[in-house]
Amino acid sequence: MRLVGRPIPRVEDARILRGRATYLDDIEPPGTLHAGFVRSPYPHARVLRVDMSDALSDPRVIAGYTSLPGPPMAPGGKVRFQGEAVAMLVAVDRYALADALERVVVDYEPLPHVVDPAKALEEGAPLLHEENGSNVAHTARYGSPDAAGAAAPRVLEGELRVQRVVPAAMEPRGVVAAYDGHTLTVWSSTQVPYDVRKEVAGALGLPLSRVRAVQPDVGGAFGSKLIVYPEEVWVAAAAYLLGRPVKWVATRSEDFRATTHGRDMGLAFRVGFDGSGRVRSLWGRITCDVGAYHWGEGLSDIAARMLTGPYDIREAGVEVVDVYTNKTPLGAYRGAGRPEATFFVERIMDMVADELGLDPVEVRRANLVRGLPYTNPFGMTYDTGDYTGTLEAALSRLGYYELLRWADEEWARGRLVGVGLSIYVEVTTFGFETAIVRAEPDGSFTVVTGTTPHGQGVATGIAQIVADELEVPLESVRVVWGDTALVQDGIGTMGSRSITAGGSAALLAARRLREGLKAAAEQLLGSPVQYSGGRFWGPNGEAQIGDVVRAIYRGRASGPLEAYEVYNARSTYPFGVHVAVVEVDPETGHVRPVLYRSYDDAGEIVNPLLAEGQIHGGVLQGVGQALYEEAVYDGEGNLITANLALYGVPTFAEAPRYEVRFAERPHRSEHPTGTKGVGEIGAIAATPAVVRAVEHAVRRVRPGARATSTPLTPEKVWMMLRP
Amino acid sequence: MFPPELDYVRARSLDEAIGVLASREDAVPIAGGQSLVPLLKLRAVSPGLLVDIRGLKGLGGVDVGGPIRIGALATHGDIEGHAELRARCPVMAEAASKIADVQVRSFGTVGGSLAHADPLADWPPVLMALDAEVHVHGPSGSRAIPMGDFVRGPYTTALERGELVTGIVVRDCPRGAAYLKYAYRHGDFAVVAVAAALRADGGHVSEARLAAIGVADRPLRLGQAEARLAGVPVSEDAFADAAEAAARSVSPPDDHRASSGYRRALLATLVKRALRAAAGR
Amino acid sequence: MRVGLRVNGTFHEVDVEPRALLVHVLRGLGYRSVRVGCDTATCGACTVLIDGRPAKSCNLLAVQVDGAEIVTAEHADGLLERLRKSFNAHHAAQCGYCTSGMLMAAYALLSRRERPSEDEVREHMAGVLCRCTGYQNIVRAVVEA
Repeated sequence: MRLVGRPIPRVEDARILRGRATYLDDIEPPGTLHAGFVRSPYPHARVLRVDMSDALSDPRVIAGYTSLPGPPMAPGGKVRFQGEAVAMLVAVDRYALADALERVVVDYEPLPHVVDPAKALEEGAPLLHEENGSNVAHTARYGSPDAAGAAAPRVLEGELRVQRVVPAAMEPRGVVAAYDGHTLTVWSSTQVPYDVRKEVAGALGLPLSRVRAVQPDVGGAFGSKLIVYPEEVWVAAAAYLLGRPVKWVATRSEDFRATTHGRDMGLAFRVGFDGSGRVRSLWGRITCDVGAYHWGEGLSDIAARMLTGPYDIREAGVEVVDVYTNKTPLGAYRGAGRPEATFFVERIMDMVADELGLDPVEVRRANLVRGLPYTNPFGMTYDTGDYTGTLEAALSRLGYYELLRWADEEWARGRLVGVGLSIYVEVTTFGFETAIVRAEPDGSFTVVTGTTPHGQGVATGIAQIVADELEVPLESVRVVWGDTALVQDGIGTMGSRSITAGGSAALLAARRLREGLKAAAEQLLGSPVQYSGGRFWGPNGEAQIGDVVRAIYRGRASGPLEAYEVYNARSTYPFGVHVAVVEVDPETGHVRPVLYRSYDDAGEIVNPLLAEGQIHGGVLQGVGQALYEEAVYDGEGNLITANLALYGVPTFAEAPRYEVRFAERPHRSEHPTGTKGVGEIGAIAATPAVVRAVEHAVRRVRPGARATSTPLTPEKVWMMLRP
Repeated sequence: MFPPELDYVRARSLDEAIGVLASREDAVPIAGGQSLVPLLKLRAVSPGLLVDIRGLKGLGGVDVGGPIRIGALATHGDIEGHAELRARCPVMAEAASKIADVQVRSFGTVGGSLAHADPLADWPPVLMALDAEVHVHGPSGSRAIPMGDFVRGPYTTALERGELVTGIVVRDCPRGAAYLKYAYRHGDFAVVAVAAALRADGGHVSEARLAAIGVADRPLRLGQAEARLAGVPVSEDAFADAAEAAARSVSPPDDHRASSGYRRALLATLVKRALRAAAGR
Repeated sequence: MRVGLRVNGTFHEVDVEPRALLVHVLRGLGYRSVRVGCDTATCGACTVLIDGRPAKSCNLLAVQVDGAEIVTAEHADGLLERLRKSFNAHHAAQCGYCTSGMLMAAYALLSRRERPSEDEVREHMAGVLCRCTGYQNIVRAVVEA
C-alpha cells in the first residue's frame, strides 16, 4: 500500500518525546570554553575604545577579542544597531563569562540615529554607511512604469504597513566549534550548514575538506537561521585559534537583538478599477526597513513581484526601496515577502469591495487569474491550478457564507464577531537539492537529504516517498541530514522547498539505486528480473532486495550501493482560500481569534497529518502578526519589546481552533513528488484573513472603519470603534 | 540569565531571618523567588546575601476558621486550590488563578508578591478592596498595616528594614466581590485590572470598595467612584456612574503598552464589569 | 553549597554556587530535556515537577529546592508513556524544543485530573510557549492521552 498521502505519525518523535533530542546547547565536548559578546547599548555610535584589561585579569577569562577572522566587529569603527557585537570574551563557564562581560569598558561616542525609514530617506538624515552616500540599500522596479498614471473609472490611493516582528524560534541561536588538529567541526543552530562550512573555511583560509559543519536538532528557525551570522564564524575562529572547544548560546534577550527580524514593509499604492470591481491598474511603492545591514536581500523584491497575487491585473508596476535604519538587520521570516504581498493585495481587494459596496468575494472572483500557467506582470509564472474552481469549492467547504449569516445572528444577539476571507497564491521552491540513497548491509536504506529540517517532519515525508519508490516498509528507510560529513552540498530547508526539491531528489536517487540493484539482481539470477514489494524475480528464481545488496557488499555481484542525486527544482505555486473568525469586545477592543478554516491546493500532500501541522503553526504566526506581535523601537533606538515577557508570542489561550482541508483533486507541480509546499501557507494567508475579520466586526459599529496596518492591537481596534 | 555572585543562608527561624536582614544592608529575603530570580537573572539587582525563608514553619497555610488568615508563604497555587477559601472568599481564588501561569503559582507567594510591590501585581488591588491587613514582623516586633497603606510606590512598601510580611488577614470578605483583569495575552501583567467588593442592603449599596492597577504608578483605591455608590440603588446606572467617576479621577500613565486615554477607558469598562460581577454573586 | 536532589528517582548530591539556577544544575547532571528558551520565566521549556508541582526550573536557584523530588521529561512511567504515544499520534511535537516543558505541564495536569476539558488544558498549559504547532495538536494529545 502506498505510503504517500497517508497521515503517518512522525518517525522523528521518539527521541524528542523522551527528552533525548540533541540541540545545540546539549553539545559540549570536554574542556569546552564559553564565549559571549559585549553588545552596544546604543543604536548608532562610534566605538572609541574597548578596554578588556579588567575582564582579562580574571583568571576564569581565557581570551578577549575585538577582531577575529570573519566579518569585522563594529565595521568601520561603528555600531549601527542596539545589540551589535563590539567584543567577544571566552571564559571557563557561563557564570564567569557573564561576570566578565560586565567588566569590559567600552567608550562610545553616540551618533545621531534613525529608526523611522521615512526619516532615514530624508535629506540630512544620519547615515549608517557613509560610503553608500545615502540610507538607500537597494532599489528596483518591476512591471509597467505607466501603472502609476493609468486611467480608470475609479481610483483609490492609500498606504499599508506590515510591522516588524521577531521570529522567536523557541531555541535561541548558538554555535559550538572544536578543532582536532586537522578538522574544525562547527555545530550550529542553523538552516544552512553548507554555507556555515564555506564561510568558516573562507575566513580561516582552510580547504573545505578540513571544516565540518553539523546541524544538530534545531529548535525552530522560520528563516531566522538561514544566513551565516558573524558569531558563527567568530566562535569557530576562536576555537581554531585557541585549540579548545568554544561554545556560544544566545540568551533570549540577546537573541531578540542579534537575530534577524522579519517583515517591516510599507506600501503606498494607487489602484484603478471599474464599477464591477475589476481592477484595471495597480501601482505600488514598497519601502522596506532592512535595519542596519542588508542581510535580508531580496525580501522586498519577492513582495513586489507577488504584489498582484492571484489576480490578473495587466497594468501593474512596483518600485522597491530598501532603507537602512539603526535596527537589527531584517531577514527572512516564514513567508519572506509573500505574507507582505498577500496582506497588501488582499487589503486592496477588500478596500475596492468596500468602496463599491460589493461582496469582497465578488471582487476577487472578478479578478482571479483564469487559465494556467500564467505569467504575472513581474515575470512570475504560476504553474498549475484552477483558481476560480478552487475558490468555488473553498467557499462551500469553508462554509463562508454560512459563517457570515451566523455573524449577523450573533450581532442581533449582541455579540460582535467578524469573518474575514483571504486568497493567496505564493511561490515556493528554488534551486538544487541533494539526496543520497544508500543500501545498508542489513537490507535497509539510508537517505541522506541535503535539506535541513528542524521540526517540519521532512524525514518522515521523505521516508514515505523513498519507501514507496523502493517498495519497502517505512521502517526500512532511515533519513538523516544536517552534516557535511554525510553530504557535501545542498541548500537546506527554507522556502517551503524540502519535500518538493529534497523529496524529488530522494525519489530520483531511490529510482536510480533500484535500477542499479535490478541490474545486479539480473547478474545474480542470470536472467532478466522484475521487481516488486522488495523482491526481484525471474525465470531462474528470486532474491530479496537485501540479498542483492549483501551480494554487492561481498563482491558476489557488482552494482551500486548508493545513488547521489542532484535535482534542480523550478518554483511552484500553491493557491488557497482561508477564513478567519474573531470575536471583538466592543468596549476594550480586545480581539479573540475563534476559528480558522483553510482550503489549499498545494499539489500532492505527502502526509496530511504533518501538512496540517504546518498550516496550524503558520496560521498562529499569521495571527500573531495580525494581532499581538511587534518589535517596537522607541525614539532612542531601544528595542523595548526585547524578550518573551514583553513580546507577544501567542499562547495556548490566544490560539483559534483550526479546521484544515486540502483540495480533493489537487493540481500537481511538475516535480516528481507532485508537491508544491505547505510550510509557509499559514503565515501568508492568515494575517489578511484575521485583519479582515476584525474589520468586518468593527464595520458593524463604524461602517467606514478601515484597517491599514498591523498589529491590530486592542487599543487600535478600540480607536477604530470610537465615534 | 546568570545571576551575580551572592551568598545564601537558609533561615531556621523567623527571628534569625529578621536578625540577618536587619544587620546586613545587602541582604534580601527570598521566598518562592518568582519575582526575585528574574531580576537576578537580568542582573537588575545584586544582593550580597539571600535569606531563604521558604522553609520557615508557621508562615504558610490558609485558615478560614475566624477571620481569613493567609500565611505569607502561602503560594498563589495554595490559595487558588483551597476549597474552603474558595467557598468563603471566592474573589481570592479568582485573583490567584489570574497570576502569571501555573508554574509560577506553584512557588510564588502572596507575601513575596506584596513585599516586591510590582505596580502591576494582582494582590494589592484585591486586598485593598477587601480591606485586608498586612501583618509584618521585624526587629521591633509585630504590627498590622492596612493594605491601603502598605504600598507606597513602585516597588516600595511600608516595610521597615528587617521587617518581613508574615501574613494577611481579611476580616470580612463580602460574597459580592470580583477581580477583573485585562491583559493582552494569557499570563501577562495586567494593562488595567479592577477589584470590587460590594454589599447591598434592601437593594441599595451599603458598602462598596474599588481598587485598580494600571492607572497609576501604584495600586489605587478608587475613592471617588466608591463615593458615588454610597447608598444608591444597585443598578446598571449606578455602575456606569461609578465607572465614569473612576475614569475622571485618574491620570493614567502613557507608554507603548497603552495610552493614557485607553487606560482610562479600560478602567471605566472594568469598574462597570467588576461591579456587575460582584453584584451577581 | 551541597544540594541534594532526587531526580526521576535517582538521588544526586552536588556542589553548587548559591547563584546557580536549577535548570543549569539539572542540565549539568545530564537531564538535558530541561531546556532554556528565555530569560524571563516566560517560555516554560524548563518546566519540571518539583515535589509534585509544575515549576519553571529557570526561575529557581538550586539551593532553594535542596532535598526536592524532581521529575523531568526523561522520566519513564505509565502516564508519561501514554502522553508520549498521544503526542506522537496527534503530531503534537514539531521542532521539539518546547516539548519537554509541554510533557511536564501535561503530566502535572493529568496527575491530578484524569479527564481535563480542552479549556482546562489550554488554561493549565498556557505557561509553556510553542512557536511551531499552533497548540491545537498538543491540546488534543493531552485531552486524548
